[in-house]
Amino acid sequence: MKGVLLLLLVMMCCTSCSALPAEERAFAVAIYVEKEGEQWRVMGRIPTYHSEGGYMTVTGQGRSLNAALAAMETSSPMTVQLSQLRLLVLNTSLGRTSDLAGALSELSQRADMRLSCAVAATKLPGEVLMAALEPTAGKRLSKAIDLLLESRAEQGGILLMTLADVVRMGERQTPVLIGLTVEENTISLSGGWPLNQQGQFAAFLSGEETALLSLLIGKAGDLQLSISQGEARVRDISSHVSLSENMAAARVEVTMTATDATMTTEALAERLAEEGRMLLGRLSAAGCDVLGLGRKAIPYAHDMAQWHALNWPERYRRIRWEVAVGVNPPA
Amino acid sequence: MSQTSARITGENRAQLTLIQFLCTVSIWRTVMTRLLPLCGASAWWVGLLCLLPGVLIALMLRLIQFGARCEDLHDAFRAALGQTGAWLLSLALAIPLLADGLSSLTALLTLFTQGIGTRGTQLTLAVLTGGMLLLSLHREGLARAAYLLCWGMTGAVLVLAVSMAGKAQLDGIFPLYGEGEAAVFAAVKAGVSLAWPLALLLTIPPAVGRGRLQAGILPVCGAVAMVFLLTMTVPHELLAREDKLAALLLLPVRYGSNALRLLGLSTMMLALFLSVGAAVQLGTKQLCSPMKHRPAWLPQVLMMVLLLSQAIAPARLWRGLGRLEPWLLAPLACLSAVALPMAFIRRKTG
Repeated sequence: MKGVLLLLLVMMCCTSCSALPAEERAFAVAIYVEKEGEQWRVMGRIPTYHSEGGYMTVTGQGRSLNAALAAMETSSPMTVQLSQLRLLVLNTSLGRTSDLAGALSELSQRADMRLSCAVAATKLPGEVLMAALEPTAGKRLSKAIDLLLESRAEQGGILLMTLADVVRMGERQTPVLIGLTVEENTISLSGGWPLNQQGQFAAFLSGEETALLSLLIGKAGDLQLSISQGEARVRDISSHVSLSENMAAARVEVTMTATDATMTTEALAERLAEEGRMLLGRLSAAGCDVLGLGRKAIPYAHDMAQWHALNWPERYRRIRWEVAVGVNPPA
Repeated sequence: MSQTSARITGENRAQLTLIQFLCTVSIWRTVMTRLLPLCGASAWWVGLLCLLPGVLIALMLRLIQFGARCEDLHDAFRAALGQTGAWLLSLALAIPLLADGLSSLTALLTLFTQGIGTRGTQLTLAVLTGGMLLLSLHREGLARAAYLLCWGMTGAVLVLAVSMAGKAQLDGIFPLYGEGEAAVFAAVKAGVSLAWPLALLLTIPPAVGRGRLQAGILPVCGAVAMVFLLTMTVPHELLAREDKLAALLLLPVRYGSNALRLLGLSTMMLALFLSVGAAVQLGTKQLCSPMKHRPAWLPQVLMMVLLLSQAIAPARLWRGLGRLEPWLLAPLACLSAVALPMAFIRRKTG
């Protein structure tokens, strides 16, 4: 009996390890993808593995994304692995064509890809971004990125979006990629780049708009909101989205507790409802289903053929929004 | 209870666990790899529908036992159809078992070579895996291993289920007909023999398996529940896109964290590994049931046959198995249809 268990253990240990030992792999912490004309370019930030620490940038170019990734590996001292990737940054120029959805799908299909990495978009060239990707505190860039993502998401400045989240949305929802810029040679995360149903960037959302969107989605626990005519701090947020009138109208009901506001709760509720309705109207007109209304619409279809016949992307663009906000005073 | 009877009860309980385990893995693997690429989001209810023929055959077998007044299935067939009947039953149970073992082995090795990216070819890994199995097939070791490991594996599956439930969205089960009626019919056709392992539960002595068919409810429901959870976690448009065996097997762990991925892959590998051994061992038992003795070399020979089959290109082998799997229940169905009236006729005349 002991022999059987030992054999099972040996078998699992002998055959489940990967093709390369850990010492022969370079674990990329962040990668950047862009396309210029017909040429794809990928840049990766990998540890130098020197005793004093530090990070180095590897670059690859090719006619396809996979070719560029393969070229990046050849420029690296070791085989590049994406299983510890923290940040995937896409250049916004990708979102002007249909290349973006293909790139995300291709990257997610890689066996070594860490699908829980955050997905961001930037207008900056790769060189600037890579130079800014240095650990701000401590020695580990991965930890610094994790902390930055976590704190910005908590503040409502970004909507934390992982590659797994983006892929799993399918045709039912569209993601908002994290807005990334560089300020004083340090990366800064603020706002978002919503994708439309064609997989292209529709517009840029500022940090304030992203916070309002977090409120409408009901994801955030505690938010600092900046709206016209004032500011407010809210908590205990809950939200419910429903589709009505034969898929012609949508209603969002949000409730929250205002802990600190520069206006009355009634005025705050009115302002939030108005600004929320305007934001959602703008996003739906651009074809960005960030609240996942498609999830409410798909049960109307019996099969995929019927779902496509419903022509949801077109219907969604014409949808009427109603936003009801209830603000409770602090207990 | 004497020491001998306690030992026999223990051995039988281990055998029951082995069959329950085989039921779970076989049903889960078939739904994941055969039904899911055809009908996506509707795989869970199509899977439930596909269980019906197997359940009906199992109930017919139970009736044959009742008619022949025998608790042992082979004795019941011997009473109804003579020694030929017992031999035919042995073959009708052994062939699906070996086919299932081959499917599990191909799935396991494809997961290694194409899913995880392990160094080595299909054949070298087959030799390594098979070598381990050849050693562990000795006596009752495998059944005991399954009995002991099933609790740990159940725990691992529960952890995975909880993590999947956390990401589950109700809209995942829509559209209910997936790719449409034609795809659903194709899936029903592919999975019509899904519940064939339930018949194996009736080969266990009744003292252990009081309500032997009831013992199959939990494994069957567990397998379908995991597929249901998966459809709620991954939308139809992604499920129906996957057609490669390795990608389909990786689906439950693909969107999880690294730790969950590791846990899921280890559990999956262990489950497939044990199910190959279980299929070979139970296949040997079935083949030898009409005989008085069981040759010690038979499981090793069967294992070698399974291993040699891995010399065939994996994609070709998997396609061939796909054509065979819908027919696994057919011999048992034909045999039961003949044995059922005979059992009652002989009961009256006897």
